[in-house]
Amino acid sequence: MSELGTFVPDEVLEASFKKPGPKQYTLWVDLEYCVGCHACTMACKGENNTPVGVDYNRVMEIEVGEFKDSKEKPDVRVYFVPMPCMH
Amino acid sequence: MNLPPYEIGSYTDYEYCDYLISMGSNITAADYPMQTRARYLQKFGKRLNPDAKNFKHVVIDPRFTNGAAKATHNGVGEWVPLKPTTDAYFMLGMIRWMIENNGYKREYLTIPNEKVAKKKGYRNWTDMTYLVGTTKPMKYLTGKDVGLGQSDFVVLINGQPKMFQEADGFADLDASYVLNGVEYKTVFRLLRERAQEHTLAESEAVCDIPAGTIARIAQEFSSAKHPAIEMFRGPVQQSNGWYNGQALCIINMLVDNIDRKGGFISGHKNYWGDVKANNKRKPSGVRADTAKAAYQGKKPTATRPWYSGYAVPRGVTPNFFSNVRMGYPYKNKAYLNYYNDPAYTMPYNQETIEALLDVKAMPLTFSIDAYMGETSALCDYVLPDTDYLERVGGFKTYPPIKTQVFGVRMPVVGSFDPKTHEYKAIRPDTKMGDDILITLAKECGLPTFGKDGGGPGVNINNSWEFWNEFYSHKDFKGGLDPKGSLVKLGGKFQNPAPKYQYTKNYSSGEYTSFPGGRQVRVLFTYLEKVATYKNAMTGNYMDGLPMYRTIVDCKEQPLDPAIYKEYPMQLHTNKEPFHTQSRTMNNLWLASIKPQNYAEINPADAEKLGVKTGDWVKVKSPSSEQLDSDMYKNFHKHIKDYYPNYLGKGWFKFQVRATSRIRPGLFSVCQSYGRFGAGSPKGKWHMNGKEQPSDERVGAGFHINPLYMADPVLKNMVLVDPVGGATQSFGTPLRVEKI
Repeated sequence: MSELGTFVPDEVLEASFKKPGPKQYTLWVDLEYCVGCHACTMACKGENNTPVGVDYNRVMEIEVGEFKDSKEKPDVRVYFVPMPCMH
Repeated sequence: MNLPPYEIGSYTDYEYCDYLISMGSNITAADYPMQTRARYLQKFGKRLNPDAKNFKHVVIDPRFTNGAAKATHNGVGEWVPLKPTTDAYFMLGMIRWMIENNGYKREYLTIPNEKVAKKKGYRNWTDMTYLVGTTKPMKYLTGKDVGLGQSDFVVLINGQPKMFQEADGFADLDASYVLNGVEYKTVFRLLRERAQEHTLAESEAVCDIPAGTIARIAQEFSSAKHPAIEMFRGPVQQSNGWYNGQALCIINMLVDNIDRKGGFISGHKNYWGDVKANNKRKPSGVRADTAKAAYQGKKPTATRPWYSGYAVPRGVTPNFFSNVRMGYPYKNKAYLNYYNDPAYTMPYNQETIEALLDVKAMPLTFSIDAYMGETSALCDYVLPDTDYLERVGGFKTYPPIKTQVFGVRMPVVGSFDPKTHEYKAIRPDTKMGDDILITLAKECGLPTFGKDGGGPGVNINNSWEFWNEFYSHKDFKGGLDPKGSLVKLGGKFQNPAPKYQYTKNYSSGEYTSFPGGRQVRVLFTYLEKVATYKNAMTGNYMDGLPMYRTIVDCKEQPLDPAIYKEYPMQLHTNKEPFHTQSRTMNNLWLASIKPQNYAEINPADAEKLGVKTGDWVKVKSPSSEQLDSDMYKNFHKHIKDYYPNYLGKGWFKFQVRATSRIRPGLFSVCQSYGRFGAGSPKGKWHMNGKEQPSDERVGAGFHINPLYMADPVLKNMVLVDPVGGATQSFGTPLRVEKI
């Protein structure tokens, strides 16, 4: 995940739990479980009944690396990143 | 081999597996049931598995699938971008390495019978020690041949022949025996010799992968605790498909993981009901697709292929349409299409479309369809079906679920007549598919339908009555009683606790318990039924073991190498997780996720062609020029409507997208787009003289099926596996040029 630079280290997370005061909720999506099926986009669409072409939730498919020579071991990775609007 | 047919077959027990090879299996984006398998792999396989830390997932696929994305996500798994159609070289290469480097379970393979298996704590055993003759047709040596008096298999114990069931200990594994001047070899020796026909370096050159890959994967695989290699349609949907599937099962046998906890599990029996009737009528005669039968003609060889009932349990659709056009083996009078859209989905679909348009070939056609699909639009009569939310029925278990399950399906909208249980659909003029079939059966006077159809006092007049009767017998009782547990729970489910999933009764390790299914069994490596079956086109016997082959035609010859020089690229198709092939593009929500598809090519090929994402190329296949010939004169009148990207003389234009997710040399197209039916404006239709609404978003993108290569011998059918009857679903040589 280093390419994306979005990973929250454990200690940062722990520290945020210990902070006093009102809590701000966040949505944690375990990207290991996301297989890029876009079902969350459809579920959101069903819940909010948005018109075709307007999606509050989207799933990005991010392609990293390049593979051009079949005689070499490929170095490609693809990440699926669901982007909910947090509502 | 008494494993289920290769097409769907077996899956891996992800929960306890620690080395998984997915071969042409688009896990997480396809397969049955996709969501369950994705969850089992990601959660139970990679997180909760006791060996989760060592779990390695190797994805062998020409495309970097979503499954490959997940496998390499944490840097542990691997993607092997195999060249399409070369699966046999990879798998036989693995078998070679495992045999030569002691990468197989020797004790397990030397077990000759159930008695020895039981003594040593195994539940199944193999035919690896059984003797097979080396003259064609290659049959198992029988006790009768050796003078031991019975027709069963013979094994060698310290070089001496013995009936397999009389052996008290292990039999000779890599051995041979000469009887009356004929050499008989053990199955293991035949397999070793077959695997040694090519070196690993030769195989890697054919597969176009880095040197040393096969040996490395085979070494990792055979030294893992719970290794398994599984497939889906990739290895089997090609002209060497049967042998590829067999090779894959053999690799699993070599490491003794079949029916094992964490191994390759073939599932178990479903719960099952029955509609009892003594006078059920069975089909008879020769099938129109000349499948499930040996060649019955008078000449020594046939003009059209025939497919064995053993290897082809389901029939061969492309052969049906080509046969129909040629009036072989008889002329077609009427055609009823149900739950199928061959005009869109069939590779080399010009033959299907032409057959449907040709009044002489198919004079009367009907279709039962929930949408005005491509095939229905070309039929004379359409009987509108209800959608999936208006259905009575059931669904069986698939292997990932290791206990017995049966889901019951009831309509969620519409209503039943309280007395007759006749279903009233919400849309006018539609009827449940089963109701249509039962009405037809009654009109035709078939004996098991209508009054007393299911026996005295049991009427089968509609879908509800059929399924009510089905759910009253065998594993079920009470029928579709709305207060019964079956309807209330939505099915019948066994307790999924681990103690019901596995058995510890065997000292060599745990097995899946398979309620209601096979427990103790022999697994066949060598398939005598295939080896004694003749290819109708050549009159030659087929082979009982997997072979090193890529694309072959109906006479089992490889393609002319000159074709590959003129057509250097390869056709390939892929699937998005949110689409099916022919049933979802008319859902505008799903269509909006990716509004169109592209021909996906590797950046290296894009550079070579001088194109970038969004540019247009033209492409042709060795047989696409036939589109302009007399063979497809009816289709040719409509080709510009159905395929606006057709340029003439066999060329089609496509918009490309360059991506490293495709291996070099491929031209890959997602198989859900480019519709010319189901509401696409390319397939306009009228009712009562009024044009029906259409939406251009349904017809967006490109469809590649007319570019599939026809069999060079038959000329009018896609390449089909002469053994297993599977279509060559990818690998057609293509010529691509920049426009």
